[in-house]
Amino acid sequence: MRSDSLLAAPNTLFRLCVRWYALAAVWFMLMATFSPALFLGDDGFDVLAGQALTSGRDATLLARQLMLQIGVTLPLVIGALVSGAATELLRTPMSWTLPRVRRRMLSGHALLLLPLTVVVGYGALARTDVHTAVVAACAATFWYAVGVNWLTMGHRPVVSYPVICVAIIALFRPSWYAAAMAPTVASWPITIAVGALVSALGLGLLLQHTGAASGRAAVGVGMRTQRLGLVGVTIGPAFGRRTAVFSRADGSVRHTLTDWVEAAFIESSWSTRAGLLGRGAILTLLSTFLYVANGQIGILGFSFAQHGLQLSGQVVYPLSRPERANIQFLCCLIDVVILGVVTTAVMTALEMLHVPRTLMGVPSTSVDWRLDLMAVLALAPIAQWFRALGPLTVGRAMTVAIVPMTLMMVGALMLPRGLDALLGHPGRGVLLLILVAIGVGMQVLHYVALHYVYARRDLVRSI
Amino acid sequence: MRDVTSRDTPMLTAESVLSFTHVHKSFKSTTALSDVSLEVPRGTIVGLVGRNGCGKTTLLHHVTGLMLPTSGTCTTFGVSTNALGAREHARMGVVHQHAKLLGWMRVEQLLQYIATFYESWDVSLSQQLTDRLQLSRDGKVAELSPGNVQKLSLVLALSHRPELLLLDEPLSDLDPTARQDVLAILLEYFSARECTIVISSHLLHDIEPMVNRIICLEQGRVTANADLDTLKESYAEWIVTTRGTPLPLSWSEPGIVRAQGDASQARLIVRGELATRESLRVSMASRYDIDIESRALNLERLFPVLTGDRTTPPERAHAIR
Amino acid sequence: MLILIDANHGVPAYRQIVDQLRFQIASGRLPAGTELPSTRALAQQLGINPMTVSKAYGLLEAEGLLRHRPGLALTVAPQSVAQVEEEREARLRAALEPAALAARQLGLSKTRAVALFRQLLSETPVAEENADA
Repeated sequence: MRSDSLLAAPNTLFRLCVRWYALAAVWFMLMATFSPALFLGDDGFDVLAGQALTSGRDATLLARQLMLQIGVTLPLVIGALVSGAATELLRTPMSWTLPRVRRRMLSGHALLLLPLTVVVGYGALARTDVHTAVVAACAATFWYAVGVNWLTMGHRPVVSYPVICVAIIALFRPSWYAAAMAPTVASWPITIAVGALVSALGLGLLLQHTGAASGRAAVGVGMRTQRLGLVGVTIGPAFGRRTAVFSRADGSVRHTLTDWVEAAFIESSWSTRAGLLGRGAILTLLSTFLYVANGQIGILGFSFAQHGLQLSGQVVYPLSRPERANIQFLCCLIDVVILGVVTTAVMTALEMLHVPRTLMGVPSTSVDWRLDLMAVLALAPIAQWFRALGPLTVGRAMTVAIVPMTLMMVGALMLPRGLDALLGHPGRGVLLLILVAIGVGMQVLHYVALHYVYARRDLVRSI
Repeated sequence: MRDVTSRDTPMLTAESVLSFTHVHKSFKSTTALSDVSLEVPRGTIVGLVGRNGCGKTTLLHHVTGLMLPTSGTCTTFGVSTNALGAREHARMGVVHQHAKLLGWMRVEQLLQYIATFYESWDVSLSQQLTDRLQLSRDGKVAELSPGNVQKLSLVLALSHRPELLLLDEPLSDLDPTARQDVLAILLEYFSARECTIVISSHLLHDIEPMVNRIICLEQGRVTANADLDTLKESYAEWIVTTRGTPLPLSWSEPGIVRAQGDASQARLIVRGELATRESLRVSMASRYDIDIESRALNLERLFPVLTGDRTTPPERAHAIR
Repeated sequence: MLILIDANHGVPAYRQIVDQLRFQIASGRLPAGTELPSTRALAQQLGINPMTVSKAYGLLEAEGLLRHRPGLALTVAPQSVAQVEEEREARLRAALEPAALAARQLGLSKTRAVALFRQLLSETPVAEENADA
C-alpha cells in the first residue's frame, strides 16, 4: 500500500521528466549556460578566472551581467522544460480525475528548485557579494515559476505580458536589466528577495488554481479540438483554406508534385502557417542574441531535426513509392532553402545595422558566419534523415534525432576549419564554393538514399 | 454468506449518485444536450445508449466535471460538478472512449504511476485484472493495440475500487472473448462492492445482461429513462395475420408506435401496460377479424423505437420460445 | 438446479427465471425444502446483474413459492396440493397457447388437433418421479 508521504509526491513530477530526451535537453542547456565562451566570447574565461580582461571592459560588471543572465536563463528554461513534461500528462482526459494531480507536482517543483537556487546563488556568490547572491537565488525561484507557468500564462495577459517583457529584456539586453536592477539590488536586497519569493509563490498558486476552466481547456475537451484528421485524400480545414486540396474543379486525377508539397505544407500547420518562415528568423535572432558564433549552428541543427515540411506517413495517399521519395526530398530541400535564406537575410541585416552579436556587447571575433551557415546547410540532410521514418511524437523524435543531429552539428563545426587547414587557407570564396559542392553532393546522396529506403520500408508503423 | 434480502428491495436511496436538472449544453453552433433531467440511483448499472453523436460522451463529461452545463445543474455524489474536488474524483473511475495514456511509459510503470494518486489503490486487484485480461505488463503503452489500450484503461479505472464507474465505449475494440471477460469482471466487481456503473456502449447485445436501467439519448434529449425490465414489458411486437379480410393500411389505435406490412400480414410495435395491451389486442382481434401473436422485444430491437427512428429495420429471424 | 436464460431475449431475464423456477417447482423437480443458490452465485452462473436475480427471488417469495428464513439460504416453500395443481395447469396452458394458435392458423379442426395431442402424450416418456395427483 503506497504511503502518501511528502517523499512519494515529488515522484508525480519527476517520473514525467525522467525521459532521456528531456534529460538530454537539460544537459545541453546546462552546457550552454555554463560554457563561458558562449556568453562572453573570449572574455568569458578571463571573467570566470578572475583575471584582467583582454577587451578592457569592466570585469565586475560583466560578471554581474553573466550571473544575472544565468540566473534568468537557467531557471526559466528548466521550468519550461519541466512544465512541458508535466503538460503532456495534464492534457490527457485521464488526468482530469486523478486526485490532486497539480498539487502533487508542487512538491516536485519545490525539490527541483533547491539545487537550482543553490547553483545560481553559489555562482553569484563566487563573483559578487552576498547580497547579490541571495537576491539571485530568490530571483531564480521567481524565474523558475515563470518558466513553469509559461504554457498557461497565455490565459492571463495581465500577468504574463509584463513578466514576459522583463524576461526578454533580461535575456537580450542584460546590461539594461543589470543597470536597472543593480542599484535596486544594492539598496534593497531584502525587499527584492522577498518580493521575488512572494511572486514565485503567487505563480505557484496560479499553477494550482489554473482554475477548473482552463484546466478543462487544457484537457482539450470540446468540439473545436478536432485534430486535422485526414481521411483518404481530403485534408481538413486549415486556417480557412479550401478543405480539400485535391478536389479541383478540373477533376484531374493526376496531381502534381506541387500539390503534394502544398498538402505537406497544410499538414505541417502545427508550427503555424507562418511558422516555417518565422521559425528561421526567430531562431536566428535568438541565436544571435543568446549565443556567440557557433550557437546558431546548434539552433539550426536542432530545427532541421524537428518535424518540418512533411507529409503524414499514416495516411494512405495514392502515391507510388518513388513519388513519395520525391516529395520527401523536395520538402526537405525546401526546408533547407527557406531556413538558409531567412537566416542569411537576418544575419546580413544585423551586420548592416552593426548590431553587436553578443549580449555582453563584446563583438564576436571568431568565425565568419557565412561559412558556418553554409556548412550547416550542406550537411542538413544528415539531420533530416530520420524524418523518412515518418512523423514521430516529440519525445520519440528527439530520442531518434539526437545522433544524426549531433553528427551534423559536429561535422558542421569542423568542416570549415578542417577544410581551411587542409587546403592551406585558400580564402573564403574558395571555401564557400567547396561547401556548396559538398552541399550539392549531400543532396544527391539524400535523393538516392530516400529512393532506396522508400522502395523497401513499411509505410505504416505496425502496432 | 451474503444475505439475499440485502438486494431484494428496490433501491430506496436517499441520495442518487448523480443527477442532472434541466441541463442544457450547447457549443457554438450545435446543441449537445437539451433539457436533460435524470437521476441515477446508487447501486444500479445503467446502460447509456443512443445513436452516434447523440451526446453520450458529452453527458459523461458532465458527470466528471470536464464540461459544465450552459444552463441547469449537474451534481455528482451530491456535489455540484463545478466544485468537484479530489475526494470526489478519487471515488470515481473513468474509461474514456479514445483514451490517451502516457505512451512512453511501460504498462507496469503507468500502473505504478497512477497508483500513487489513489489511497485506495489495490495492487493485487490490478495484478489480477491484468492477468485475467491477458495484458502484458512489459510493453510500452504506445505500442499497445487499441483493444489492449481499452483493457488498460479499464484496469486503471477499477484498481482503486471506485464507487462510481463511468465507462465510455469500453468494449468497442475488444474481441468477443475479451468482451465477455470484461463483462464478467464488471459484474463481479459490482457484486463485491456497493457501486454504480454507467456504461455507454453500442454493443447492446453485450451490455443487456448486465444492465438494469436504460437511459436513451437522441440528439441531446433523453428519450427513455427506465428500468430495463419495465421497458421490455411495456413494449410488444404483434404479428398480425388476417383471417380473411385484408388488413387496413394504417393503424390508428393509440399505443401502436410502429407499423409495417401488407394486406395479409403486418408487424406492429405496441406500447403500453400489459393490461392495456391485452384489452387492445382482444378488441382489435374481434374488430378486424385477425389473429394477433405477441412477441417481446429485446434491447437491440427496441433501440430504433427508443431513438425515434422512423424507418423499420429488416426483419431478422428470432427464435420463438 | 438448472436454469437457462437468454438475457438478450425480449422477455426480461427476471421473468425467465421466475417462469423457469415456477415450472420446476410445479413439476416437482425442486421439492419443498430445496436450497436455492444465493443471488450472487446464480447471477455469476448466468452472467447477469445480481439485482435481476434478487428481483426474481423477491417475486417468488412474495408469491409464497420460496421461503426465506433470516440467516439461512432461500428454500422452496412447501406447497398445498391445490396450489401445485393450479400451477401445473397454468404452466401447461402457457405451453399450449401457441400450439392452439398454430392449429387454428393451419386450419386443423379441433378434433384433429386434440387427437394429435393425445398421440403425442402417449409417445412422450413420462418422468418416473411424477406421481399424478
